[in-house]
Amino acid sequence: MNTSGFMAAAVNPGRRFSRRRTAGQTLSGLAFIGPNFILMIVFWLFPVVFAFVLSFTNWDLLSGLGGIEFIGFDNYRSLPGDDKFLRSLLNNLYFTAAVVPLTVILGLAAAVIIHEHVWGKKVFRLVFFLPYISNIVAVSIVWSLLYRHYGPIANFLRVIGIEHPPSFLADMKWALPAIIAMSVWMQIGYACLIYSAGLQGISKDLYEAAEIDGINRWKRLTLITIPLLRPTTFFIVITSLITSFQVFAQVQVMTDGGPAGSTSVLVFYIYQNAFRFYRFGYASAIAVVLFVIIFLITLIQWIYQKRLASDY
Amino acid sequence: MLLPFAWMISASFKLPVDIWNFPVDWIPDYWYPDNYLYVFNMSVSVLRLYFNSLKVTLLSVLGATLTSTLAAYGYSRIRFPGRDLMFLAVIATLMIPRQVLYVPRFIMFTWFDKVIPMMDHHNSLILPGLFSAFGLFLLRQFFLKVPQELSESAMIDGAGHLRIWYHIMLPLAKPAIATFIIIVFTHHWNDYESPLIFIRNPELATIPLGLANFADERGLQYHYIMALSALAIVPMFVVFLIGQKLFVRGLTAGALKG
Repeated sequence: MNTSGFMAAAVNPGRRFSRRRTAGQTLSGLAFIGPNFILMIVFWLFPVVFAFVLSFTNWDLLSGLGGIEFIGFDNYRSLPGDDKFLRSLLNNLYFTAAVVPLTVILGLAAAVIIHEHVWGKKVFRLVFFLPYISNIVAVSIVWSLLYRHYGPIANFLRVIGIEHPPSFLADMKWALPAIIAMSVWMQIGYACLIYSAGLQGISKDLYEAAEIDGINRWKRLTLITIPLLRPTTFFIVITSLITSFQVFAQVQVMTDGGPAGSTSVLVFYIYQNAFRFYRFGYASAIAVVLFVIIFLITLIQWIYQKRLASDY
Repeated sequence: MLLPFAWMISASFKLPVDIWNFPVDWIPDYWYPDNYLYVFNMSVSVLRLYFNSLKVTLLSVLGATLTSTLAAYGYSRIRFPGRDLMFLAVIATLMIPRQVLYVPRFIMFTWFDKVIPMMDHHNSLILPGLFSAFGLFLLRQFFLKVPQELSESAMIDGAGHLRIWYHIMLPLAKPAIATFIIIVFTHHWNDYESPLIFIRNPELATIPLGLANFADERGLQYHYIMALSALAIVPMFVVFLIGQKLFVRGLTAGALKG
């Protein structure tokens, strides 16, 4: 890592390591990292282990610790037969499969257009970014009003000739796509921001060379920009995948999982089981499934980054 | 992109009957500020919600800054056995989805209640917020870039670790600390899930929770709901405008390593 500390120790005899010195070092080191480390154990490490343990029990809130009963893999075994769980998982996959590519493509498009613009770059980037930092509850409420049967969106559709627009959030077929559209609107700014930073890292020489070769704009995008932004794209895809599997607030505020479970997603189903039915054991089993999904995504990221690091 | 915000603000100044007019009157004929007066004067005033949010957010952010800078110093400046393993353990928590923790924490907090009030108390939001793996990671990266010679020479002059941390590292790390603060501030300010689970008393609600409760209770009073929504969103815009650069730096820190 850094050899200068070692050098200083070699030059200055007073800093030579002795046993007492090492003990002192260890103590002060622990004192510095202590608060952070203890908080980590209490509020992260222990709860995670506890969640795994709970997932093997049928514990509910009412029976207390005395009522805890280990039931092995029963919770996990009942998952494949639980229609509501399967529904939530499928809805979540559908949500992810739509939100991630849309966010990436629209975010890239926005970033490229803004990048090529001569004036007002900052203002445009800001405009795209505001939804991302807005309070998700407020945004969800505003959108659920926009989506109402006689709300501005439906009225607009009537004006352009669609006679019977769906009443989005109350319609089983349209509720999830409506939430997807709103989530993409929220996320574009994030992708746009990361892409903008990536674009600034591409050398202008490449584009100038391309211009001399007479390459058109579309080819410039597909042959230079997109390939060079691959690490950026990968990063955005990974973060969007992770946030997509954790989607919750929009669903809870806009539809409460309905109509008829058509917008229920994993975290919503965890929440429902845990804090409405107080089925802590079962909720923990679903939470472990979520944990495994996120873990696999993180694993892919590590492998890719390792490969990237060894390539250069 | 901004139309939903424009619609929200225009609706927040309207009488309820005018909200659904079509074509939308983006600029109302008659500005009706009473909606805002109402949310300031209702039983749990928006000021109360702001206060709760500010209290929870500021205490979490300040505490997390303290623990993270201390730990970042420990992990980057003091050598002791087991250090790197401990660091790895802390960083590994970055991949835990927060939603896995809610049920166990809920149970643990009922136990903690015997010693320190947690359930239905701001402590349930503040105490877990004092730890930040992201903060430790960001600040340690920064501390590692500071030349070792600086702290070495201070040490030869007789300064202890605490003084080096306070007088050398903290001032140098100001940009990194500011970046961390603004990111974590936004996170806590907008957090909805933890208050939803741990806070029952409407008097203790933070802005997102208070807004959700209000919309539940006053389902049809859209004019009030839009006024409260606007008040929930706008302060964050201001914070963002002020700290835009730091924000961008924080979010791109993970993306553009090396």
